[in-house]
Amino acid sequence: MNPQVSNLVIMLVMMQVSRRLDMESPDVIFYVRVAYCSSVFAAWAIYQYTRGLIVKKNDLTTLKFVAPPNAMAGESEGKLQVTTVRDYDLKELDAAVKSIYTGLAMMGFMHLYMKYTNPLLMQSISPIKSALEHNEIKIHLFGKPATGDLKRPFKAPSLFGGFGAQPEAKTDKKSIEEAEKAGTGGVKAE
Amino acid sequence: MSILSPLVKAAEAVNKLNANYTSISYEELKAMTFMQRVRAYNWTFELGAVAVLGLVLVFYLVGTKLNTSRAEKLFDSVSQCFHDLAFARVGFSTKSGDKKKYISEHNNTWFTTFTTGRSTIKYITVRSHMYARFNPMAMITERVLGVFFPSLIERDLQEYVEVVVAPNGIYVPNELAEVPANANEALSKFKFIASIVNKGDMGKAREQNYFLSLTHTAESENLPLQYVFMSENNQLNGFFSRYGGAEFRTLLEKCANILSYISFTDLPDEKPITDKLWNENQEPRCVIRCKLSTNSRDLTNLNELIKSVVGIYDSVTQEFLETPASAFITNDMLKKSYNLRTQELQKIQKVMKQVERELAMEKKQKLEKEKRRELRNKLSGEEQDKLDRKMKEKRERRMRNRQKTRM
Repeated sequence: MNPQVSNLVIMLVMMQVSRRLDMESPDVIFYVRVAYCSSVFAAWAIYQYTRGLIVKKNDLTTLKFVAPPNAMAGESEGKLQVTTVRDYDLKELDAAVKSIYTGLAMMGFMHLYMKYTNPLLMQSISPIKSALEHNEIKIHLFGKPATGDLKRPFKAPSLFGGFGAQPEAKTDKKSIEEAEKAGTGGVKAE
Repeated sequence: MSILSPLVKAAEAVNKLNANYTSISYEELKAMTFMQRVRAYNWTFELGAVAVLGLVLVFYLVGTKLNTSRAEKLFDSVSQCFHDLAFARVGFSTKSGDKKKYISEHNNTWFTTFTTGRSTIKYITVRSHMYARFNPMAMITERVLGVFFPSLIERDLQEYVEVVVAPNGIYVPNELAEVPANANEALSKFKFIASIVNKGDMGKAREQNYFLSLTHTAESENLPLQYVFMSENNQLNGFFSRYGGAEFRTLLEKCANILSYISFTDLPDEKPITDKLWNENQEPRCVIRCKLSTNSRDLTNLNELIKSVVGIYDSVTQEFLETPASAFITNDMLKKSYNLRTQELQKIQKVMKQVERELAMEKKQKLEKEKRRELRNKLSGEEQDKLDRKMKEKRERRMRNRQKTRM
């Protein structure tokens, strides 16, 4: 099942579960807090362990691709990315860890400041699920080969198959050669 | 619940500290002596503020001293290297005649030194950036911001040393030898880009340097595993092995933990946006960019790198002047480099023309608007109304036509 669809299903199930719980009871709140914190910590620990594996492997194979333009930043052309497998993997992992911190901050605001407990319960499974479904975890922790869907650079996941998906990174020789000689570096920030 | 409630609570807590004092009436305060008033007042908040100020001062002193001591170590070592290479002038002289090994700027975060006066080398500058250790709060804020918005403060966040070695095309074998007349000819042959870049810094180096963003990235067995070549054509990759030899490869391996890139180039690091800037900013040079480290092993390696680059310039210049036919840089390579530069200049000129056209169009529209306004002002009130009606009809007609076309 598509991970985003399964996320939706889990959310709906957790909504039903939360309706059956007494969210005013201090005991329930305590257990929900413990469940959420454990899930976040487990996800964080998985990422950190995988980071250790990546650093230990130290794969310095060069990786070149043209990243799709970022429409939000007003880019019209793709940008050449020249990196190593190790740095690419670490960057992907850092993005995942950053999303944990962002989620933690949002949940902290909603639970501690706004006093909502439902979101905490609904989010108590997704961090660990996302961690186990992450491409880097599949490659380094579960030892799956980096081919097919796991070939670097990874494709951005889409909710409805190919429709509405983000443009893919270009890895063909012609695009890379063109981007390599584009002279886009050293642009002074205004 | 107000978003500012924590702040309000904190302000209330501070005010509460002196609740007793503020409850004393004016008459009672007037009756008290100065010492009694001092004793009645709760000075906790003021003492806290003084402690914070003291802490800021301590951080400032310690941070500044730390940076200075690191700079001393770095520039002592580099100056010694310049003396070993027999440079005539090392460092700076003040008006009072004192010698300074380096100058520091921006509260001891930027350091620079300079040397000149040697065969084949016009000058060498060493520039180093260090953390603002005197202001830990700013450092922490920059770090946190860097995690979430890397594009905001990426550029000079890290500590680094950048050495620029510029050749002069003049090779003299000894002090008594005459200066060759064809120095400019030799210098004109340094128009190429040949670089070795650490794999950990490839993306960043290309992003920050215009000259590197024009190169082709290639892995090679002739290089240690940690590096790649970034040259404008693959033939130029042999430049390093030809003039540096096996020792250079060994040195690169030793420097893998500090060296970001070493590049022989003539193009600027900042992308020129006009043809004038393009012509002004071309200067043959070698750029060595390293992470800042002050341990003696890394400093020795940095000095060895500088010596190697100077050695390469010695060999290349000598070859250009004495045996040009056997030089590694052939006319064919220079022709390719010339073509790339011509193409880049054409790109810049194209963008310039486009900008000029847009500006001219804008100016023309502005003038036309002004003209229309002047014409309207000359007319009487009735004629103005008539003109407005006419314009309104015209606009409506246009809109109708547009709607028709859409349908």
